[in-house]
Amino acid sequence: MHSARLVIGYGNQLRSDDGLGRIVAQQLRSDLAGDSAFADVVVLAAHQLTPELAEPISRSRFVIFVDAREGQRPGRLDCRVVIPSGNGALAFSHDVDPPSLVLLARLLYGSSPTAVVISVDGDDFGYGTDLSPEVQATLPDVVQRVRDVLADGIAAQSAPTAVGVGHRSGGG
Amino acid sequence: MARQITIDPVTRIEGHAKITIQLDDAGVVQDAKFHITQFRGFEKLCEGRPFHEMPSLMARICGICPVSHLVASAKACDAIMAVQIPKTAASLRRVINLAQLIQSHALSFFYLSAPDLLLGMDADPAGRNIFGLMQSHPEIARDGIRLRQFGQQVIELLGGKRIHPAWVVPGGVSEPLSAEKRLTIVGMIPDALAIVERTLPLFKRVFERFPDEVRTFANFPSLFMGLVDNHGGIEHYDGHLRIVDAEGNVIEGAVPSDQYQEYIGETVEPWSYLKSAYYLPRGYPDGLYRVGPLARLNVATSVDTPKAGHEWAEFRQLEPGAVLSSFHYHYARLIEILYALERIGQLLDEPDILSTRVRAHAEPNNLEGIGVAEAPRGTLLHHYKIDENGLIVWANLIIATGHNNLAMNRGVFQVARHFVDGERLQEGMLNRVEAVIRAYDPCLSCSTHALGKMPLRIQLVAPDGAVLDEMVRGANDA
Repeated sequence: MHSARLVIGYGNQLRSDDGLGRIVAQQLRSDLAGDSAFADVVVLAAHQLTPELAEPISRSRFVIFVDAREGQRPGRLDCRVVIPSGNGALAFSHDVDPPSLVLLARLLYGSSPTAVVISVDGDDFGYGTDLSPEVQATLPDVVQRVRDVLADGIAAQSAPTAVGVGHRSGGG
Repeated sequence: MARQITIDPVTRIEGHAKITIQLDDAGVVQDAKFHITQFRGFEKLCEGRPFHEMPSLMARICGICPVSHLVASAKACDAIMAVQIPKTAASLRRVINLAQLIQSHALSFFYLSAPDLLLGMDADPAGRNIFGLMQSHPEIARDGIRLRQFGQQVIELLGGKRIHPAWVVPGGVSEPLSAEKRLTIVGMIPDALAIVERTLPLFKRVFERFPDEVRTFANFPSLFMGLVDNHGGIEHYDGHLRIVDAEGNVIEGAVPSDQYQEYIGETVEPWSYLKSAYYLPRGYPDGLYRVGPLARLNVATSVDTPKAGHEWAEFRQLEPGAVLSSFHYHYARLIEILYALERIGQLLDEPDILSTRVRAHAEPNNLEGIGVAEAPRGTLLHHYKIDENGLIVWANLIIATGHNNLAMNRGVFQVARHFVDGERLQEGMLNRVEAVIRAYDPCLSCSTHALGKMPLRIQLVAPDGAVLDEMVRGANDA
């Protein structure tokens, strides 16, 4: 039964911009509460992606990962379709990437939903609880992009590109 | 020419470490060492902080077993406050500590070690990982995930979040257990029990495929240490420390936690950041002892839950005295998961488990406090001293991996000597050297759980430091 849509915002909130995904998740929980158009949306905030998430992913019909990543242009927003892949290149057991998680869902539970990664180039992944100015300024756009993708699916993206194995966040 | 093999990093353990193996002119192993290459410094950075902050600070030591640090730290703070916490609070601390044990043991057994056990020590490292396991044994991988979820869900239900919950506090716990949460946890137990009950017989057969490893994986006479209750039964939260020898004789029946320094010494070696603990009366390094699941099953004279008690009795039949092979840490872990599930059920059936009296309040009444608890990997000891203002002036932590450091080093040497042929290096040989470390499930911090095909650098180094040969295995190599 694949009834729910799932949003997973992840990152380490003690590592400055890396906490973006969790901040977005917290805001979405508040924004979407009581909105019947999003009644089936489950929002998870996670420190890291772990293999256990494969199970709720397998029960979802659509998944959005929200993350900060290392990049050249702090604040740049990106949206990519996830191509399930693992190929043994997984190096860490408590820091799994989205392609691996979607593959795990298929291998273990027989179902891998359509998934996208919405990511933002971070500027500062050092110790700290605040987002950098560039990433802070992007926060409303990230929340809106998640809402758009939830509402319209991948079609909301003008030119989504694929993300396969090796997609890694900037930190936790 | 004499050479050195370096395995850096050691894979599928919790943290960063390397192993060096010294070969003589004939390529025979002469020495081997397990080096901890990361430095944390928690004992120093907490100085000057209010004592009541210590549980939250110390939980940050580890993302895998933060609850165990919370519990040991809170017990040290209880001692500083000179309070006896409410019985319900103690029971709830036990529940969350056992939930921690379940999720940590499940991670170690199913994610980190099962690939070696089910796919073989010599299997292609490209597939000898959790992905390979999921493809070859998806039902076991699902069971491992489900058990880990159980532990995490209990921690989240009690503590509010899965990692670094702040619910265990000096004097007890911050909130009582609700009837709804109790029912939720109780309802999850049968499914988790069924998983362990089908996993144990399966792996008992698997263990029989590894006679060489059973014989050589840190299989030597040593002391063992762990908590036991007042009747000698297995214990993870309170009680007293017991030390037994290789024959199973009780050497120290009840080490008072506040006198641990008369029994446990610590030393440092220049080649590792990890302290080595030893049994003081026997000196260093003869006072080598082991802690953790194997030690707990060895020091206990009973396991007072029906299913785990039966399994423990069978386990102890492996050898006439203490079970000596560290390969059996894996077996012991499964039995402890079974025990923890049964014990959580017992604790949640206590009549006053929903009591709202769960915290004692007091100012500091002692300038020193010691807390001891059993973490998944073994005995955890937190010792604090404060000034008149309640600020930490000194702290000493002895963690499970420190207790086991001497034994891990001896185990690495034993395995290297048995399996490593310096003239004909093979990946499976080196995997076994790593696997003996994995058997202890050392927690070097929370930072890394490397899987299968981690980057691995093996160097052959001449005595003058010249690199004679090098083999590099990258994460993305075919």
